[in-house]
Amino acid sequence: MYERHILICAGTGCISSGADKVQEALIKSLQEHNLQDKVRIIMSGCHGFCEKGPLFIVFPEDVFYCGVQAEDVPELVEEYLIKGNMVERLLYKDPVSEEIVINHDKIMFYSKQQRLALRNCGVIDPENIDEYIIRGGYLGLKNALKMEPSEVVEEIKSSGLRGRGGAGFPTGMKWQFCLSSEGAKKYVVCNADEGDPGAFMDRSLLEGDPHAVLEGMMITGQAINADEGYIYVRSEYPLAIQRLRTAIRQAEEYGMLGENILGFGFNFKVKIKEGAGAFVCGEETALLASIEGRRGVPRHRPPFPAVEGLWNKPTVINNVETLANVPLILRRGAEQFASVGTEGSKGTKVFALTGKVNNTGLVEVPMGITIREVVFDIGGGIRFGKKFKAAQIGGPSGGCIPEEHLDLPIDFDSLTAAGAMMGSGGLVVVDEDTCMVDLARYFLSFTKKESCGQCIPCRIGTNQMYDILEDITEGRGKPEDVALLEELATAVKKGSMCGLGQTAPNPVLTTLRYFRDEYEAHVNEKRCPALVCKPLLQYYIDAEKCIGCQRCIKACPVDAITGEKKQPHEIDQELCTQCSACFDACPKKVSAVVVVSEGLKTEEEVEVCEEGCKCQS
Amino acid sequence: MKKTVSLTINGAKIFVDRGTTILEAARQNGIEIPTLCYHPALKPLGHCRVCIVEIEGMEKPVTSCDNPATEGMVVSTESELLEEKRKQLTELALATHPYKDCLTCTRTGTCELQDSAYRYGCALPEQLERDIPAVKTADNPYLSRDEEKCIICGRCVQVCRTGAGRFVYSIVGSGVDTRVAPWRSGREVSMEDAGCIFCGQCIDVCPVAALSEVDREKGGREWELVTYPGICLHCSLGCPTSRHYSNGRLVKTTASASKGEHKWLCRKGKFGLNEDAGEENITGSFTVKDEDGVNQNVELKDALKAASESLKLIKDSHGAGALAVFASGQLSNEESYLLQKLARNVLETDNINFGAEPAWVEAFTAIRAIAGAGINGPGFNQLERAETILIVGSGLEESHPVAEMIINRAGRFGCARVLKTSPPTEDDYFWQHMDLSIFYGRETLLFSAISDYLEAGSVESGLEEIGFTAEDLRTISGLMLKEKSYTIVSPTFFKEAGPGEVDALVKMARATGQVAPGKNNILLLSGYSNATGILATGGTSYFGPGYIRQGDIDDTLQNQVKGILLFGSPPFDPEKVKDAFIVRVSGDRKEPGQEANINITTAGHDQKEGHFTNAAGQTRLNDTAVTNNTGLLNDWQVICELASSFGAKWSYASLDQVREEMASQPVAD
Ligand SMILES: Cc1cc2nc3c(=O)[nH]c(=O)nc-3n(C[C@H](O)[C@H](O)[C@H](O)COP(=O)(O)O)c2cc1C
Ligand code: SF4
Ligand code: SF4
Ligand code: SF4
Ligand code: FES
Repeated sequence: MYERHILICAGTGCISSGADKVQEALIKSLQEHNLQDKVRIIMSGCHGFCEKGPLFIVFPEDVFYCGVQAEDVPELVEEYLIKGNMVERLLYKDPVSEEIVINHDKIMFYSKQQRLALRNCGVIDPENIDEYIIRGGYLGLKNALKMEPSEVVEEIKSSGLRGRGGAGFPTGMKWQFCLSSEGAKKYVVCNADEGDPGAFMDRSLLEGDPHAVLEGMMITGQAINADEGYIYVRSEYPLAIQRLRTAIRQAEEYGMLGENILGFGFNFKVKIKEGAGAFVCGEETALLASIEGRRGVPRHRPPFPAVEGLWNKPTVINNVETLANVPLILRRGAEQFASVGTEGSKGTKVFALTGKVNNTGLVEVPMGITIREVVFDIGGGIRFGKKFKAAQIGGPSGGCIPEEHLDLPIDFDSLTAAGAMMGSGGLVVVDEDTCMVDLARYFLSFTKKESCGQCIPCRIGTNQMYDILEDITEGRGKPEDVALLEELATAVKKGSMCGLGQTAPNPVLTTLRYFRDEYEAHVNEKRCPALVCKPLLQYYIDAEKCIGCQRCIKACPVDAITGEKKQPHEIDQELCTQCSACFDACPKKVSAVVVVSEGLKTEEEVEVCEEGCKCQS
Repeated sequence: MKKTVSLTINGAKIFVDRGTTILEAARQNGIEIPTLCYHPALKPLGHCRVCIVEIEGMEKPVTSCDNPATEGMVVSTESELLEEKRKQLTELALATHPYKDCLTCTRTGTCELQDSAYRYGCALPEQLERDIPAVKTADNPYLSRDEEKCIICGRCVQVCRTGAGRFVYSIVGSGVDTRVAPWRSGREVSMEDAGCIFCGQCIDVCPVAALSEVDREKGGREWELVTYPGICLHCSLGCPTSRHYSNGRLVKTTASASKGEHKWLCRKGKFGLNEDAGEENITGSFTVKDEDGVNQNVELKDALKAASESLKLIKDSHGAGALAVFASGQLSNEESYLLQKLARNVLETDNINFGAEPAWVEAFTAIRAIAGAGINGPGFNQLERAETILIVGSGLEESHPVAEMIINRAGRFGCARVLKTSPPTEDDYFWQHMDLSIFYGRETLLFSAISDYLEAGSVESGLEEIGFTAEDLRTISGLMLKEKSYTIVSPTFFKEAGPGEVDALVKMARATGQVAPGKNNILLLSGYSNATGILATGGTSYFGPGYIRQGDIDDTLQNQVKGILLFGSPPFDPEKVKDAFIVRVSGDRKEPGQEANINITTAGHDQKEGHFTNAAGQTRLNDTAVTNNTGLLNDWQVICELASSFGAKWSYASLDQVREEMASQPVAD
């Protein structure tokens, strides 16, 4: 009989920060103290708090150690496991109150969350089907198999579940279309492409609870009369693929997959398709093309996949997180699922919280939670006490929501109304040091490259938009550029064939909507208020503060700084390339180099010297 | 379910078939919607977005080329907003199109992008920086690509797949660097390595000058070109073409887009500009060999006189049986009729063959006897919808490439099971259903096995030892029994086949029901372009006009022949007729060779007016493309001149009179 269970997070984040070494050290240390029969190690899926990893949680008392390294393990075993003394330096410290929090569920990061989709992640051993079953796994499937397909569809419909892959399409309705499509052969496809570089909830789900996704697919199969499923997963997710393979094998051994499942005469098989595709491969028609071995590019809809999908057969394609919610609905009933969330958006949503907040990681929150709660309670506020500026929600094509909307309840419709979108569930918090024009440029640099290039507005329009944004951030912007940018953004949004082009302008459009003054400062005054756009900055040395140490002189790559030792130095504005080397070189205690953006001289302001040239001197 | 839907376009109520796109619905009713990427013969891809229309109840304009018309839809195709959006889209396209080249571009005037820019009065945007090849590439003698001009409409990609049945192009790269390139196994290769058969269809559909004929440059502005309908005479499919001339010079040939007929050409039809350029200086058009065997230039009338005198002399001393008339398979129906009349009525010989393999004639007539007069082999529309296609013989990709394209299409994109007796080629594995190459060169074994099984239920084909099981036999027979099963027989089969092979083929056709009274699902492809027309007009020794039986085939014929009238360059063995006296009539403008005693040059294919009948029995007119300013007579006129120099009293003032006479000939059942 084990006295204790130790959960070590083995999500990709924690493994890269050393969780596997922690495991080795723990095994060794337990053996040294002859505890191997008393303490059981569970390598779990991701807990979402990757930033503080590797995580090391001791049950039953639920003591949460974080940032544990292999060399800390002997101390934890000797001091805590054997002697019962807390190893304080490895406990979690609340970033706001600076108090130590011992228990896992008392940490704000977790306490405001509601983990439904992620119910098993970080809790069970994902490579062990028994642990999944013990926690109610495959009960949903059993219930579904007792029902008629149309009843299963009805159940999902009344749960109000909407697709978590981005567009938020009502899942029940999608299934209904597919169920009513004629055809003996139908497919279920799980979209695990997760092309947004900042999102990782699908990966965590597949790594941490692969059976939930399998079960979701099988229930879908029962609902639409499909007997075959594909999981399209990026090949950059080797651990997810391996866990899926293991899960499929175990499910087959248990008679949960294959022929005559659970004795109900239902057959279902699942294949894994590894994709190395571009971002656009996540778009459903592109994804289907890719499975078929063609170039993964979107095609026109209709016909929708539910009518003509994989190999022209009716196909339901759902996102990983959507599918992970399905077994829960079938197990606990639609009503219970629908009790969480808002009028139009039921259940929870997982976000990848990143950026300038204290706690970053994967968080699952009930629909309707406000952005403020996510940023300040779960996220623990802005780092270094800076000021919140915006939350960019929805991945590269998401929109930026400003401070005045901090109390916006997060759901599909409110986000869309605010110009953002649920999208991939990326949530990037930016603070006062971020230039919104530059941020828009940054996101567009991603989408313009990822455009599949088929349709004119997206292929060319995004590039023209990018060029304008680059001009603006590099000081070449013209006053009329802002209107032109807006016009182009609207043309791309309204005119593109697929979701990529239709959403790519969102970062631009929302920053134009909420931060237009920043654009105007750039083009009209040649000023970057956030002090980010280099060509619009000026570096000065404060003669009062300068100690004449000459470090900046050595650092300057273009010899723009002059000054005698122990005398105040000076920067030649003509030569300065705004590289910031002097700023970085100046000792922090001195901080004599100051950055300002006071506006470049405009034509009229340039003094004309005797020679009549405009040399600005 | 209702078959038609009704909708309103620009206020007019319109009824169209279910599944019709909004664009087609509009066009069917005379309403134009501008497009850039749509092509009527191809699946819409929705790349350009120019075809947008407004639909009541929809928040933003939608593309009309790929959205179906639905019941009750209220569409407007013109509005200020649409105008502005279309202009904006065209301007976007111009940002990656080197419009500075317009002045010197061959497509100026017919470029669809230029058209659109003109229509909307577009501003010329700054060019976007792109990472794509800026130079033209022509890695082959036919087709050149100018990627800078490509607007990624996707038509070439599409037509290559659905038209040529190849996969030469891929859209590759992403964002503004997206381009269309010949692609194989994940990398860029030459056109040839990507499987291109140089049919040139992609050139014909390209809306801009991104694809063009290699020698098209400076060949004449598009609006100067004069277009004539024609027929490709490179094989017995006789595809309709459009021939484009600039100052009497053939500049390019494109597929004719006439409705209801197949619309594509192959390399030979597109690029085989065998039609005389009409500008060569012709000397030595008429020659007579002197005693020393040297060609002497003479006048036409002297050449004709010499010809008739020499042939008469042979007839007088050796009998009419010593005379023969041979012609290439490119005679028109009218010429064939006149020539056989010359042979039979004037020279009084049945020794004629104008280009038809004996085995083909035999098979053709045997099947005609079963199916009935006027019941033709399958056309392309039928083949495209085939359930089974059996290909007998090999080399279609060389001899009848368009047929091979159709089979490709039927196999890859349709629902046809393709069976082939020739060894599979590299591209076949995509679609070939069953490899029958064990029967290559011994197809009779297969034919008999199928007939025996279907007629007597015998599975004992005795073919197990060559790896053909009873199961295989059952499968094939089942496929051949399908309603839409077809057999296509290539010229290589007829070249080798004797009466036994033909009998077996016909027997199988009957057993499978492919041929029955009133039904003919066999396409017999002769290696001679107008074989079907020539046979029907009497151009073989077996039949007079209207398939009226004349003589029997006499293989020893060529040995006894002393005088030959040769039209064009029919294949014949000069060894066998070493001492024969040869009169050669040809449209070939090259300096005549030594093989003939008398040479008479005619005006050639450009000036040829006449009908041709293809393998599927379709008869089409080849019109004269350029006025005959060569001073030479047309083939049919030379035949008449020859007849009168023999003293015959023919009086055809025009080809129409010939046609009238032909129409009055009886036709055998
Ligand atoms: C450019 C683009 C990328 C997308 N990438 C993903 C993705 O990575 N994962 C995903 O589940 N859905 C993605 N989608 C959404 C899918 O097209 C589709 O809506 C979704 O898989 C449907 O599943 P759901 O109804 O469960 O959300 C993407 C859409 C677009 C336009
Ligand atoms: S919107 Fe962009 S990604 Fe989508 S089809 Fe068009 S070019 Fe491709
Ligand atoms: S010439 Fe024909 S085969 Fe070659 S790329 Fe063009 S369409 Fe394809
Ligand atoms: S080469 Fe021509 S046909 Fe092909 S995509 Fe480009 S513009 Fe279209
Ligand atoms: S013609 Fe419809 S999108 Fe190009």
